[in-house]
Amino acid sequence: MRRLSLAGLTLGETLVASAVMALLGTILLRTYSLAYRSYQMNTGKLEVQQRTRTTLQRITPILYAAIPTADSGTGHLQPAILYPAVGSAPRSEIRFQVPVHPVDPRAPVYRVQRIWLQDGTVRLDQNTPSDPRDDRILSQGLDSLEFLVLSDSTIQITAKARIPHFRSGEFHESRLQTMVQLPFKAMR
Amino acid sequence: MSRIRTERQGVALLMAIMFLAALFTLSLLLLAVLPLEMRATGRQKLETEAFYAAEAGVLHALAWMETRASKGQPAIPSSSDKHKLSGSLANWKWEAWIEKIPVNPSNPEDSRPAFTVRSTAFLDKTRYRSVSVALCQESMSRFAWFEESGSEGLWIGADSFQIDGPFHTNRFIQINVPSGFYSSGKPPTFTQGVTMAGAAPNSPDGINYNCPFGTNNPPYDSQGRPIENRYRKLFGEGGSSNVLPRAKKIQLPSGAENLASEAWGSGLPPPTQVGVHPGLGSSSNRLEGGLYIVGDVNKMTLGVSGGNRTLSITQGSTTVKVLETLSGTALAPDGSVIPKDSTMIQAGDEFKVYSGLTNGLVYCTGDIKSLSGVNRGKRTIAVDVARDKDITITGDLTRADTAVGQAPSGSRDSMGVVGHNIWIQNSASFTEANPLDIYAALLGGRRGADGKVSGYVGPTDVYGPLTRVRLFGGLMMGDKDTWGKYSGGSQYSGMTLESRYDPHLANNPPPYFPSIAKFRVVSYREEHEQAAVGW
Repeated sequence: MRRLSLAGLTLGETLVASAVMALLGTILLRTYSLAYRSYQMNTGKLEVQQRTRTTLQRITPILYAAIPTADSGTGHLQPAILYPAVGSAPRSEIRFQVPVHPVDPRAPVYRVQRIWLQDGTVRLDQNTPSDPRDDRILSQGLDSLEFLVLSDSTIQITAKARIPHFRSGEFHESRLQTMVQLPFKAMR
Repeated sequence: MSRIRTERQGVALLMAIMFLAALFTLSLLLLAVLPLEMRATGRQKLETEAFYAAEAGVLHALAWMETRASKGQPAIPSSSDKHKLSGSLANWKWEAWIEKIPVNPSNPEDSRPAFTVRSTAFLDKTRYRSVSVALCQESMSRFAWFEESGSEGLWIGADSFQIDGPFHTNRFIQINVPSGFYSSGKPPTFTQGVTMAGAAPNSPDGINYNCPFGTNNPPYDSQGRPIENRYRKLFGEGGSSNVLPRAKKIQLPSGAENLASEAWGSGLPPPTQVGVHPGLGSSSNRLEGGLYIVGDVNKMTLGVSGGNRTLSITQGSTTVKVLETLSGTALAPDGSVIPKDSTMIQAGDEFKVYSGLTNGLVYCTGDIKSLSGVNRGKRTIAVDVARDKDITITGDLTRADTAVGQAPSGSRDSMGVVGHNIWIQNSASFTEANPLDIYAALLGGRRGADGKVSGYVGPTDVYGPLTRVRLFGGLMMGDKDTWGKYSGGSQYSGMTLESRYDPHLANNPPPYFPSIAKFRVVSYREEHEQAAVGW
């Protein structure tokens, strides 16, 4: 009895065990493959979401500084957002006026800043539109960026990004939209 | 036996461990995704909360300052140049510092109260985010037309008024729109915003169009829906959005005490002897204020000599001449040279030269019975409003930097006139072809301690010769009274006005011109605090 039990498994037992092992292995592999694919998908999605979210997060506080200014020639107030015009079609560029710091509240000096998308890169032109040396890169890898000026103090920004899936020909896409209410208006 | 059993159990254990390890690896992969997303979301939540907490501090500070200013108090207690406010928003705490910006000594004419407010958001004593704003208190001179209070609301003829700047009344307006006005080629009655603290009853836009002596011709239909082309005809491009009823009340100042102390140049008791006193303040020879005049002035004439500004003040039989060398040197009566940026005061043969220029303020404790001339430099002429002192304009009041009849192109020579009443002397010689030209922000009126409003800008005699006035500036008053008498629908006496707004007065007001309880944000900046970097 004891020797028989020490002789090992019968063929039937071995086959059954192997079949069970193969079944379990297959399930495990498929689960692993599914999970890994899901992981890749999620990290891809997160990557594009991060791109759009970071872009909007970087643009928003810069736009908050936009302020209407008095024109030294006519004395009339110039709008905070110079381009695009209120109600016009969305554009991939926005131009706005910000004060030069330190600010003398009685005689503030303003300059024009520009944020625009070019070849997937979002740039901030801090002062001189013709001189790229003072440009600042806000984000990269964006497919589209649109500014829609709804009123003199409200801007809708839409950012889109997509990256190809690592195996299939599909793309991960992210489209985020935010509404920026310039704070100067709330304080008037 | 037990050893054999152990070997068999060992296979199962090994397999279980293998499965567990595989599942654990999978879990780790999946879990690796979650913290990334959670961190991003958490960070965004904190950033947003910190921003709102810091902004709440700024908004609170602004409301606090406006409330003080609306009560006639300085925006922050005058005993200090800094003031701290604090509060909380949910779990966050904010701390806001308001700091007064002193008048720049090199530009004393720009005296608008200015402040910075810096609000910081804290969570568990850690600074996260700050918002800094720079503010400038708005001047009354920002209005093209301001009327504090009319007993029944102000009547305006749609075809006889053109108000091309901001308009405000603390009551409401009533507009008589003649038949055919909406299809006429006439320009809009208003071209910028109309704000009213009140509203006419039963009117969709707060304006009464039901004129008892004219028509009922409103710009809305029977359902109260706006007819935009009609609104644009009355209120310019903005149409119905240019009309704002039930706006915040803006009050006239109750007096001009601050103008008196700024003209005198110090907190020391001002002189009581009749005459013209330079605002020396605590100095013996350097001007720190403006000109402080005790007693009535029979005649005050502004002028320009060699690019420098002059002022002639006659009280009784005495005439005092003031020369300020704004542009270059000048010669004193004895032939000596008066250096640039100096002030000479001459009475008869005697004269004295002071270093420095005045701050542009001329304050008189009595009435100014005749005011005219050409202004050079920014200047405000004021009288003791609290004691109902008046100013009478008897001739053209123009400016050196602008050709007569043209609109100003800057604010170099802007002027403000502040009195209880501002009277315009009737004269038949001022006609439509040859009007009386006034380049100034005119403020006539005050709010008494009992809240009663008095004073206005108008002709010395409503029955006197019809006088045509052309104003480049703004008109601010307590309670407008009639400007003339009519016969057969046309005015035959008093004064008629052609008013053109000078937008430069809004951003570069005359020195010490009264402010309103409103602050303009000239800069807004968000800042991350150092302590929160990397959170």
